[in-house]
Amino acid sequence: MKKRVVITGMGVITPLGNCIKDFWNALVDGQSGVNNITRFSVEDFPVKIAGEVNAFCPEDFFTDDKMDRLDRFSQFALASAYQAVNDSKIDRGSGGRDDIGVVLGTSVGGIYSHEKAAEDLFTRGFKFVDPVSIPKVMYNAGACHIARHFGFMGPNYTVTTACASGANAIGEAYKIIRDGYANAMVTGGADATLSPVFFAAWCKLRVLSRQNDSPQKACKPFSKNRDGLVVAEGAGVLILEELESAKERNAYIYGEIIGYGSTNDAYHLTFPHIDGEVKAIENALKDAQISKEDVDYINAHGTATAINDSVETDAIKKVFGDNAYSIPISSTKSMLGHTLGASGAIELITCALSLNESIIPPTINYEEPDPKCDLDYVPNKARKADINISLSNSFGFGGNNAVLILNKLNKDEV
Amino acid sequence: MEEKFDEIEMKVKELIEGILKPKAKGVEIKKESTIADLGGDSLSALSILSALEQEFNISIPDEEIIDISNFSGAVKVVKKHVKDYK
Repeated sequence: MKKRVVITGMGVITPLGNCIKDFWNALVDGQSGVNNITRFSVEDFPVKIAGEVNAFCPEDFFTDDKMDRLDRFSQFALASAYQAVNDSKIDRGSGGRDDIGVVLGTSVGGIYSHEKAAEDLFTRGFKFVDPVSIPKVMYNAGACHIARHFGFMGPNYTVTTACASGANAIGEAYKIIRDGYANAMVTGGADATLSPVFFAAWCKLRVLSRQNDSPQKACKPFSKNRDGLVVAEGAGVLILEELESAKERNAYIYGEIIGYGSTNDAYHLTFPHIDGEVKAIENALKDAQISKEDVDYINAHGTATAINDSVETDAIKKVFGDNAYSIPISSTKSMLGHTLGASGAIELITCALSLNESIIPPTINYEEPDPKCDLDYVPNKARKADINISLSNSFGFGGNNAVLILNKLNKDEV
Repeated sequence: MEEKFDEIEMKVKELIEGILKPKAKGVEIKKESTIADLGGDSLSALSILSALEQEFNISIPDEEIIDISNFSGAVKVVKKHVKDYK
């Protein structure tokens, strides 16, 4: 029999705060975490803004003297996992636990450490390459550090599907518990995207907003005057747990994951295609065994590129029909920027908080209606709403689509 | 009694302190200290080796990595390769 899977813990590192409380308050308040880039020189770059994680000190979370062996993305992952494990109050066992595993998403793993080693080799010579570069750069480092730190010896792997990585990771972790391969999973996504070469390459793709003079207003999902996405860094980590075991230990339950859909457009490396997105949403609805009228809120992929927002709007209209016009939809990327492989996880956490707090965070910087994007995007101000079921879209380069559906448990079920 | 360190020993000590940060754990580097005593492991030995190569502009062959498992060994390796050391 399939097991039911619930969320019992959450943690975040984001441009809008390094704990759930600060993060959520900023989202509801409609703040922007986008600012001028300070981590490296962007003098020659056409884009000078991003969602940087500031005021993050790994030492606030750990006293481990080996933090310098962790790339920034692993530090984000571990710090978020630390919050989530504490929040869930899950028993770590005396000698660790082999029924708890980790599935983490990341789009670029230890990119900064990779670039640093390359710079050292090319500009200074072989002697100057950090001998710990490989364990810093490897994409599975984040998941392995979480396992090692907490003694979680269950299934452990890393998912990389560009901007869908976090959502795919959560979907895979959900399946592992549902199918009885683990009792609980640490899952989510982490990306430390602000590395000079990587950021330069993003600039070259010409999909970034160039509103350098007004960073906080730069990211305008679904607004007609949107001019591109804003790159950001961060992590979101959740504890998923089998329902009965969560109930047995009286854990606080944020919600139940009831649906997961995953597809590929098989079309274009960077352009989205409506069919793949529609199929992913439909697969998630089918997995959840709910009707499309049951969805109360959609957390959109909503990157603020011209093409993403119109194709996503069309996909939602195709799946939900006329009902699409009455479902509130918001893009929290308007406030955080696009944390790439972490975004799906941060956005599912947002959905969970929306269920619990009965508030939908807004799409800020919504200034001009676009005839191609004519749905209810919860413009500029958060909205009170009773939400039972929320759906989160994540669509990545490579045509990767991942959709998750979250349900609020009834009081008599907890 | 406080141990006396010569010039190279002082530099090696400084480099190891920078990498392993033993002072944070209240541990002082002594001549007989092993990397393990100072909280390090095999990866730390690689980092120390790399720092020694950079600082002294020397090349340490693979078979000498084993000598970096303690402070005196690291000093010995450096002195062997630094040509103008008297």
